[in-house]
Amino acid sequence: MRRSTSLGQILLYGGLLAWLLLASLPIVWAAVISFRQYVDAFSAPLKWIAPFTLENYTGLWIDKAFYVNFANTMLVTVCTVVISLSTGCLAGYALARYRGNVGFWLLMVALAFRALPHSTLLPSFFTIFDALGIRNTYFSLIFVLVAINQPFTIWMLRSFFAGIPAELDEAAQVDGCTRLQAFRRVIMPVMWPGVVTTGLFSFLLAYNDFLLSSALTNADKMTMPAAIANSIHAESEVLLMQGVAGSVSIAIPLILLVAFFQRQIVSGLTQGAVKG
Amino acid sequence: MPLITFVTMIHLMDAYRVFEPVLVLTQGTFTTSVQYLTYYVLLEENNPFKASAAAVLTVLGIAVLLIPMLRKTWREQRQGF
Repeated sequence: MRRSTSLGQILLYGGLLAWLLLASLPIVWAAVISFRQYVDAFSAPLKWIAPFTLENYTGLWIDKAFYVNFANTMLVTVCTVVISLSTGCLAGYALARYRGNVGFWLLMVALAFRALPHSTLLPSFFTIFDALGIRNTYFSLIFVLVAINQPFTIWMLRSFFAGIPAELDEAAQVDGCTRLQAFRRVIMPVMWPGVVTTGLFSFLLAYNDFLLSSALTNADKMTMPAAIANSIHAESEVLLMQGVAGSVSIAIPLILLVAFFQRQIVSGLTQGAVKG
Repeated sequence: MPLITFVTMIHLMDAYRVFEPVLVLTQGTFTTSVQYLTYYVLLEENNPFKASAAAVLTVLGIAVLLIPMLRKTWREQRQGF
């Protein structure tokens, strides 16, 4: 009995290790070749050891002013998270407490919009923003990202709010709070884990977005993914290596974030809106 | 609905809207997808009308995929309201 469990554990850990190596190989390899010249990075018999160089990173961050794109990404992401959380909290709270047909239909519509691919909204936004002359601005990008994010935020926050017993609001109201005061002083302090988890997910969506930011912004308004896509498309070898360095630069903050907030992300996956 | 069906549905929808791999790895030469079609028609061909048509057809496709999930959520949520 004991033997078989230890054998099972060896198989389990061996399988997990093999999967880990396989899954992390492309990312680790991108990180390794980002410190090489083009000839060493793509040599035909694979080179395990090659001369170390920081050229790609300096070329990207200093000569190409990648810090501008970094700042753009941060601005757009933070605005998206703040706006979608503040409206999402109000909407989620209302939908969690309200009993009626309208609420039900709103939730169903939100679910349908959540499933739409991002590109389906693009042609209309593109032409309307063009006509209004606000296409290449931070505002339009944030606007679209919030709109796309909102159904998901509402569903997730609603399921967190539904987990808080309604007796808590009633107790606060008995003690003399208005509805809004009860929400702000009693419910929100208990909601922080849910807000953090939802905020993480909307951060990831806004940070990773490529389709919308590459279509709606150009030149100095571009976010990081849109900026490196141009250099990966280019024929030039120097640009390609800078694109590799850029993709590694984009991944590092994300890896740190996920490592730091691992627990919240997993709890969000298990109790969020997309629970099976 | 069993969990495996649900996970399959989610993955089907994710596969339906594949975009970045198509653009970055093949630049639409050897593969294409509905999202890439909309993007390409809108930005490369500069034809918002045709792109809107592509978007509407994409929505129709996702609607077909979404029906089982909508029905499940419908039943679940109906009890709460």
